[in-house]
Amino acid sequence: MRTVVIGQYVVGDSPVHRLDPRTKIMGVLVFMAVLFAADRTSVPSYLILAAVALGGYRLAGISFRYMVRSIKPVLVILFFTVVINLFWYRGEVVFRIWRLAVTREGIAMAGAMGVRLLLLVTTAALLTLTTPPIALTDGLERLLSPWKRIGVPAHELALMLTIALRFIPTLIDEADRIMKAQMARGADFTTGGLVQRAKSLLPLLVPLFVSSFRRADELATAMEARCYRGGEGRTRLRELRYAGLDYAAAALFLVLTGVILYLRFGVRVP
Amino acid sequence: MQVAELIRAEGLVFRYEDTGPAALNHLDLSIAAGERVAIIGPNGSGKSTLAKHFNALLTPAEGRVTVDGLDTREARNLWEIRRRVGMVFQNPDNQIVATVVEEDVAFGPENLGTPQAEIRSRVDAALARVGMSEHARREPHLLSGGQKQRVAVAGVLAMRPRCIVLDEATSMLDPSGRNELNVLVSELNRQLGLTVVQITHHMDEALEADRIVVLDRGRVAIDGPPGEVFGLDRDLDALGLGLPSSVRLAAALRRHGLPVPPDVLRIDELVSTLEELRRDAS
Amino acid sequence: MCCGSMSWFPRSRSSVAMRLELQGVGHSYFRGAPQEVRALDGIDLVIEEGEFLGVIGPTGSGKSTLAQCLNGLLHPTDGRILAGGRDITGGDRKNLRWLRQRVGLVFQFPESQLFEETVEDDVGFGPRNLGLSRDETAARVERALELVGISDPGVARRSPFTLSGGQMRRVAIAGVLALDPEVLVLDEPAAGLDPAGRDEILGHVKALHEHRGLTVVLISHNMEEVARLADRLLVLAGGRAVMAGTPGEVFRRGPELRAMGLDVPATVQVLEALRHRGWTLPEVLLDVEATADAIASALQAGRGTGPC
Repeated sequence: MRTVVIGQYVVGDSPVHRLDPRTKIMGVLVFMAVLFAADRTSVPSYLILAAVALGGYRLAGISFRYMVRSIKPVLVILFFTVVINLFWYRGEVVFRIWRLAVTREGIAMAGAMGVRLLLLVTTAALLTLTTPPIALTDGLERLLSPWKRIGVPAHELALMLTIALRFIPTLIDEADRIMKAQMARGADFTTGGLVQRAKSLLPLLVPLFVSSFRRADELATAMEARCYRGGEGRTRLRELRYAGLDYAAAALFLVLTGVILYLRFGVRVP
Repeated sequence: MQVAELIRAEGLVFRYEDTGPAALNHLDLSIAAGERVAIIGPNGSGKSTLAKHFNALLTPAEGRVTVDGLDTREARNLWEIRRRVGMVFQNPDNQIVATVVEEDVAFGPENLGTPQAEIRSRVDAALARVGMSEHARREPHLLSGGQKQRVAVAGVLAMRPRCIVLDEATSMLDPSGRNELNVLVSELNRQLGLTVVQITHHMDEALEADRIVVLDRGRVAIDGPPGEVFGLDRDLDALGLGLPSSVRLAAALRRHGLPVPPDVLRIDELVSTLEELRRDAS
Repeated sequence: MCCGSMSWFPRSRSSVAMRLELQGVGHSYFRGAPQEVRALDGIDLVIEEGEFLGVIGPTGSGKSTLAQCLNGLLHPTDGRILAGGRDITGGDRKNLRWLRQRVGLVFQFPESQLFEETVEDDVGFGPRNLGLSRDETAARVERALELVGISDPGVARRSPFTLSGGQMRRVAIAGVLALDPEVLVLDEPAAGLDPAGRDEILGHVKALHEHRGLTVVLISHNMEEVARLADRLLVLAGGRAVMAGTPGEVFRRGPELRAMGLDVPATVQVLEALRHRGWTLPEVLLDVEATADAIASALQAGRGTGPC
């Protein structure tokens, strides 16, 4: 009785969904690079970047609820980042609370860092929300392929990722079953200090590891029985192909990069 | 008419360890194209070991195994042999590689370097054949055991094999899953002419086969049609193999003096025979 | 600081009759969420001390959920469960401790729970969690291993992962028996085993019931198996108890069982088919010899009476 879904993919047919996964992966990387290259004190820069991110969600037809949810895991980091920058950044003091000084530069820095983190996380989330895991691994494989020449095992990495994603729900189910079986024998996973709880995980982890090794062995045999012999000579059910949409997206990112860099460095082109 | 031989084992010897006992002990066996064979035997009789020789997952220490004329020990034959003889394993989970059903069915053809357009048609055809077309885009962990095994069969069919070996493929399934798979296997054999080899310890599955091969300690002990094999209940008992209840009932009726022919093994056959006896008597 | 396990009290055979009673028990997974599933609904059941109850039903009928409610792993969202007179529905910690010592649950493919370095350490996991002394644990381990037919001390000192599949399963079952439960719930104990292995495991289960007086709840898909061993059957479908009674009573309703995707033992199928054609025969016989006898007699006497 599991409702774990591999990845967080939300089904849809928006332009964002239809983009080649490679475009999206590279797009996210470019966005992150531009995010860090942007002038920290330039509010317009961050507004533009935020607009792009929000626009992405709108275009994908994904409610902002998901955007908000993606922030949850990093709330703690966000909090600390903002607090540390707010109170410990040197500069022109604006006001004081107890012995802590809040500076103008501190506020700017806290704001910038905070916004950066938020945009980073939400954009990365947009990637997984609009791209099914299989497309992500395909995209990654294709992007890494040119580097096969210098020894990057693109195909193997992509296959490992696929198999891992495939088995996560299965392993979660199994862990649940093992836990219940051990609890039926009186095992307690909840009481005790850190060390005690770590030790009590043994009856869960050992069986899980043992079965995982057996799984791997059986899976490898099954793959060989279906003529798997490495990445050489393999064709694919789905070939990734760039379409007009991807070129349009690329152009958009080019423009974005240009604008942000202009805001940072002034007139660029000689 | 000469029926082509598909798999042949001659003097097959196999050991898991070089100095260990022989798991297969000078075994001879021939399987013809289009046959449906059940291989049964007690634990340790070598059933699974034998099955793995049919697609060159294991190769003989002594003797020879040929598949469609290709010797399994020749490395260059390996992939062609594995394309012609597909295998479905016991654990439904541990043979599904991809995150989406149709991607997994495509795995075999992809490995063979099949042209892209053809992969699509093969996948669709295979899924239709096993009745899983509507689940093509689902994630495997949401399927039942029986459904997963059908996906595994589709994965094999997409490679256009001549033979499919089921290594205890129904062991971990519930009765309805087992039934579905057996019906499917029957269709593949009758309608597509696919050679089927079923390693099983479910006697009612063996009943459905054209021929039953009983292994004992690495050799063929009994080889014949179900009627013949199940008539030797004392021998099977000695091997620790049970009989299907319908067969035991037929035997018991015979002991009560009723003339039930030895090839009457299944419930429906038994009922018809008994009805005939009643009509004859009245 | 103590070893971290709950401080359980070693149990002596309780004077309280270990009777399990379910009153209107229901259970929903993911209550309130869009994926809410009603796994059990309106179950009224009494399991008397010392009885052998068989639970059958198609996949997804709630059998596993029911099993986990019986030993407190799951707390039903509706209804009440009484064990030995105590209300265990709420999941009160003290009650749970008390319950786990008395109702042992063997999951499907239990060999996957083995983890210790030696067989005896693994079987001793339960007793150690109960807080038993080293000596008492050793005694329990030895007894439990004997009960599953492992008497060779050499095996006890081996790693469980070096054993055969069938042996591993028996060690896992011994691990539950070492808790010295009064009620044993088994979920498909013979799943995946070959006929010889099945007979062996079920033989041990039967012996536990007959010689040790354990109450047994056997969940199984195998109709012949439950028919042979159980005093009483409970049929679940869609989370509800749809039939209950002796094997004879339940298998009388062949067509209904088949409609649920369940089957009926071969002998019953033959008798039913013949009766359908006008033969005068008992409705349910589970023994092959008795069935053959009945059919032979029917042929003799009146040449298979029936409307003509």
